[in-house]
Amino acid sequence: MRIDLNKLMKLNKMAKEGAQNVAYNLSQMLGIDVEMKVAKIEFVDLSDVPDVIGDREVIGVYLTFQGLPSGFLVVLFPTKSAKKITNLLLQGIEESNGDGFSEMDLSAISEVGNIITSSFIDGWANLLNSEINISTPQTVHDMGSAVIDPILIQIAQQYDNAFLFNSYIKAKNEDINCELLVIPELEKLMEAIDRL
Amino acid sequence: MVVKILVVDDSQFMRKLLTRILESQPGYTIVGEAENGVEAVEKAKQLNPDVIMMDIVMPIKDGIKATAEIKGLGGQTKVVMCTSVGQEEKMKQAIMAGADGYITKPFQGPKVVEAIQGVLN
Amino acid sequence: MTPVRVKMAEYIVSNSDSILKTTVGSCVAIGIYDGNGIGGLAHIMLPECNGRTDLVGKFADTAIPAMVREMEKMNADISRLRAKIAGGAQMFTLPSSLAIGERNIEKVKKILRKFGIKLIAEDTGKNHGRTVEFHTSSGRMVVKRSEKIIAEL
Repeated sequence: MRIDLNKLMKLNKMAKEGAQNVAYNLSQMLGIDVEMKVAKIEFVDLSDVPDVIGDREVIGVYLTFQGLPSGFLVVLFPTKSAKKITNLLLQGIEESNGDGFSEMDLSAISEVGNIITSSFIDGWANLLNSEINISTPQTVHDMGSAVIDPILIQIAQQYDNAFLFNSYIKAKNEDINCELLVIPELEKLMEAIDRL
Repeated sequence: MVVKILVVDDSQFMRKLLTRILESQPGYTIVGEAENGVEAVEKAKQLNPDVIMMDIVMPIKDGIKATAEIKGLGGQTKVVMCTSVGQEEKMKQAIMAGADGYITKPFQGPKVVEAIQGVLN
Repeated sequence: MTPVRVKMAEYIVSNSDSILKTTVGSCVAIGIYDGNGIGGLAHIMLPECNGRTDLVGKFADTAIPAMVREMEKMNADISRLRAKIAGGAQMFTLPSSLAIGERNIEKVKKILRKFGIKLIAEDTGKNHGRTVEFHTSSGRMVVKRSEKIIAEL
């Protein structure tokens, strides 16, 4: 597949548009200053992705989106950051229970994942003037490479490569971070950037 | 008069958050919770709440269908949709289904109270 | 011994005493060995290649034959080949048509039977990821989850 420079710049614009909303909404929710960087857009071999993510333990929030474009989203929270986020959000709601993650903890993380992903996709929808629907989130506590594996498999039924939108979200004064991976279906993505 | 509220959201955390926000305010009481549209309709019939805080995207039955059914019952219950950013299209459908107001996540206390007062007045 | 990483959609066969390592969710890790010093590990993503001839490591029905051929070239005793498998989890609740973990395991078992390779042990299914370390000589397979051993096959 060939992609010209012009389209690449459009892709970049899309990613930035998506990222802009995320930091604002997340700062509001958590009550701390948050910044978001679109680290990179890469055209990757699907089989390279697990090694980039690694086997570190994460809370992963998985969603799909349908429309123009369609695809898959996952937010990976390192367990330490996830714990800090649940402490922030559940203050006065439920006492923290040590190192593990309760159902309420996972539900809170899932909602943060929901805010991140819907803010990001909203940026795309605005730019493309299209309607993009997001599924309900699913949350798992596992190794990062294993969390991403079923998503890669779904794409692998049709493709060997994908555009990976990889963003990094970080709190300014706290040791909290997470990673957003967005993998649109290739054909739909091309259709979408042709619209720009 | 105390305002009776039914909280509908598939996220345990969001239900808890809304409950905490509203119970810290005078004049509101949470009469029930539901985690999908089917439960929402059942509890709306049972509990006859003044206001329902209704999530849009939920499994089994979404908030739009549930709102249409609840409004079809012909009661006085007001419905406030709880939406995420980017759900404008869904919001339109919800309004057509009879929703009385909406609020966008992430939300804080004052916005929630404002939205509820908005549909009651 | 430092483990050698087998990438997703790849396989490695070795005739020196090695540890091969990979992490799977719904994918399946397939260790095959002859007990005589030759063994390999594959990390397949999907059951069937549907006629594709490139990327043989990606599919169960092409990865297993390719491994067997390479082991044969290394003069492995093909009649004595045995296998151990791990993975095929269902990490998320997906529509049943996408319950690929289970389909992967079924296909792997079918292909192993077809090649007369005896399946000695497995740690499959459930809803969690697995890091697999396969000792090519002894055929020992250690299954871990976040560095904790959860099964020894």
